[in-house]
Amino acid sequence: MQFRCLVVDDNQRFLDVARRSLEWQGLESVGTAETIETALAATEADHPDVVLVDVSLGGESGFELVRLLAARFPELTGRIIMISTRAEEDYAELMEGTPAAGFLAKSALSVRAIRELIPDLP
Amino acid sequence: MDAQRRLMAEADDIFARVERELHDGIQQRLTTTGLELELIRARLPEGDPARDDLAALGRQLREMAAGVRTLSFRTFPAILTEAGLAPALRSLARHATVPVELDLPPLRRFDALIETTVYRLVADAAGQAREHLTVQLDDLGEALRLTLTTDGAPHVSPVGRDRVEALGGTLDGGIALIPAELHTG
Repeated sequence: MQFRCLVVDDNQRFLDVARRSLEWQGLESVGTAETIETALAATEADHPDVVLVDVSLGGESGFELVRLLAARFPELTGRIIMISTRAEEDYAELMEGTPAAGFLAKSALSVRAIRELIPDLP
Repeated sequence: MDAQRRLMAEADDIFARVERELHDGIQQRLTTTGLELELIRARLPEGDPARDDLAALGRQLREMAAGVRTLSFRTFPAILTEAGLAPALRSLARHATVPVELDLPPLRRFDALIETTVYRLVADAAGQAREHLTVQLDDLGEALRLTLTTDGAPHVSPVGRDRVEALGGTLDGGIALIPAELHTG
């Protein structure tokens, strides 16, 4: 069985590539969302096992979405990963205190990298 | 003084915009193109010589992305706009070539001109310190007090001094007093 994944990013092209890449690696359900509002709706509707959230969502903050997801969907505790074009160390200060399970550079995105951060995925 | 502030604000805005363009535009595209390349590579049969060529191309893209990242960090501290002085100074301390000790209270957000000026003073001092730098910030309500302690006198660039004065602040040795609110007029 493969886990269900939701990718949230304001960049349509990245969402498209990320979805194709994760599907190629075997995921059957990869949803995408571009805003906080649509991400919350997609989580409600599709019950993803893991949510990948870009640090910066255009005018909105990915950190804010992570806080909202953690508050509204307790089952996602430890199941949210922040992603960014930047490297992790650029965000070390901001990662402290977020309910996210970890951080992944977009260039390192893969099913294996997600599983390494969240070992208990289906 | 207002004219000076306008010039400062415009220059800061330009650097911040270039940084955003580097990150959201160029770096984002390099990363996405790298992922697309990897997807094409993965679909080729094992032993296809094009796999190695695409891997080499992918490495070049990653090096370009790393170069853009360094350039963007040097252009403007995006974290300052996103998260304020404390996270930005902690990030600066981590990137510094000498040990930088920070003594910061919980900090509220200030006008961008004030935050950029404090950051600039610390960055200048950190860049020129030979052994270590201690940074203390105190929120005095009406003013922010920045105390820089280092081996010898802390380095303050002429532009750093100009910025403090344009904000109506004072600079004495390693101690800068900057108004916490900017009034026009």
